[in-house]
Amino acid sequence: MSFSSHYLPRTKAGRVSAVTFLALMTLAQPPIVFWVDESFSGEFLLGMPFLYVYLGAVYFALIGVLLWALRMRV
Amino acid sequence: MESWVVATGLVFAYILVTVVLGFLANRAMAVELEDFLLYGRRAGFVVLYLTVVASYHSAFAFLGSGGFFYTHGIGFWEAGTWTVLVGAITYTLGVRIWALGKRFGYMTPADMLADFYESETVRAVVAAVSVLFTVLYIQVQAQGLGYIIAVASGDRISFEVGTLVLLVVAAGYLMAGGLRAVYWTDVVQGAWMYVAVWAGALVLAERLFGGPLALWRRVAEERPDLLRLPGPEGFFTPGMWLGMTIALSFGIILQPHMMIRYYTAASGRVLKWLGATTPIFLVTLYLPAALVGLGGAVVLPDLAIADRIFPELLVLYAPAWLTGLILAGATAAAMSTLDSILHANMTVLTRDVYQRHVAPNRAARHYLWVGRAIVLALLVVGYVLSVHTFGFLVTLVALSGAGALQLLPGTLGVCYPTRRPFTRAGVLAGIGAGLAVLYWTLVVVPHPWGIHAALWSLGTNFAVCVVVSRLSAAPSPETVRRIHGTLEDYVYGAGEEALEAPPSP
Repeated sequence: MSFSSHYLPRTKAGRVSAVTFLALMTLAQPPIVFWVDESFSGEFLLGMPFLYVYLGAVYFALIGVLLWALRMRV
Repeated sequence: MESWVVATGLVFAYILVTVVLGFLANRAMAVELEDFLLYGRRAGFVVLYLTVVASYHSAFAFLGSGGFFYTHGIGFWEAGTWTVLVGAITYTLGVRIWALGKRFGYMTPADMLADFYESETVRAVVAAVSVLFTVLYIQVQAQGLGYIIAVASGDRISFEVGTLVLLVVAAGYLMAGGLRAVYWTDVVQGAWMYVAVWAGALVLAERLFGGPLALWRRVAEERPDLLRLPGPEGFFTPGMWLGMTIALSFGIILQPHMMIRYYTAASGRVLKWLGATTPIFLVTLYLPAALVGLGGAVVLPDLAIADRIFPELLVLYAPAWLTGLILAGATAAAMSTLDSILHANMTVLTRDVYQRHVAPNRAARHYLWVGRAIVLALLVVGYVLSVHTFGFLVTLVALSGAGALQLLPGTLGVCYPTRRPFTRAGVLAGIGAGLAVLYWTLVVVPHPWGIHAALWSLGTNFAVCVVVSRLSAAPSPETVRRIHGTLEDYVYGAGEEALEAPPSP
């Protein structure tokens, strides 16, 4: 007795939200986050350190994906 | 009136509120095990939201995070990765755990794993891992409470007495009202801690620097090392970054006090709303923590215990009434996690050990009293651990999280149907190997090559689980059909109706 894998989304909205979430999460992980730190060290954006603002933007984009998935009833 | 009297008085006034709520919960409680342990599986969005965020954020969020920013710098803003991931895990995995709990009456993580893998050994191992690693977490919260009371009273109330008082209060309302008391107090605690941490951070930033933006400029001028990776002490290596993301998301979700919350939801839709929206609360609580920790590193650079930076700043630079209100919020953060862990351990020990192996088929009232006795025993264990061991709060949380993380392969094997499910031998071998590697990479040779012990242990666990599962007997087709068939119907078929009817053949 076996079932098709539940790890792979079966709907278009499911695939879009999963891929977008993973892509955004990689932006907040090594090596990208370390490259951002190296490239923009000492830079400020909106009066705050660049890395702080950058990570904040990624986190809110990730939350946006979750809300979009909820709206699409994924 | 002296400021320490005001601050300590407000903390104790808050404690009184939680005690009253606990006893009101007792009056509303039915003498049923499911009501005492699982809130009757009727938790709606608001209650569940505030109890989840309050339980997730603890003394760790209030004290440990400020201390971590203070010591290791901006790298701790990484906290957003694991808190967002907690939402995604709830949205995907949490809903499946809820569905199986509703369909098959599970009350503990071990109930679910033992049923699928058809093994009482799995039940015993999962229960042991659940309790062993969350007892450490009791210590973290109890120590946080001791710090708070000691600071609020200007060390007039000792750390040991403060820890004992707050442990007794949390255990008291839990024994009186069960999970209902925990949830009702968590509603107050969740709201209070959020307002408190933001208010405290903004007031301090304004008083000490002239506002948050001026704070950032001062940190850049005086401590630029705190605004770079990997931080002044080189802590945030790529391996630690990734490891903390995994350990503090999956690792905490898999602890029984979080997993049991999934069973209590009124519906799957409530859990999806929870998954999509809890990261808003969880992530934004670290914004003010950064202001406190980094600003504190400029103002009080030589603090002996970094975890005390927030309360120390409040006592020195904020009005007494505000300090009291905020320290009450910190107390709320620690107590809301503490009561949840006490409750979860009580549930696991009552359900998986006592009811299963010591005295089956007794009346619900009997198990209720046994549960209360277990809470008392846990209180003693937690207190002894708290006053005899001191450590850096975040490190302790990471140890707890990485331990519970070893349940991940087995849990995924139940909740995500695949063509080749894991086996009981695979899961047990994986947990054993994972725990051995965790001990080696956390205690003997901490974080080899800068890679977090959670990654070493979880990688080993998965590899061993996959290999042994290929070589050993799978769960019976009937069980796979019953449990994975339910999930197939629930996720891709009839939805919640699938949880009422018998599973499809």
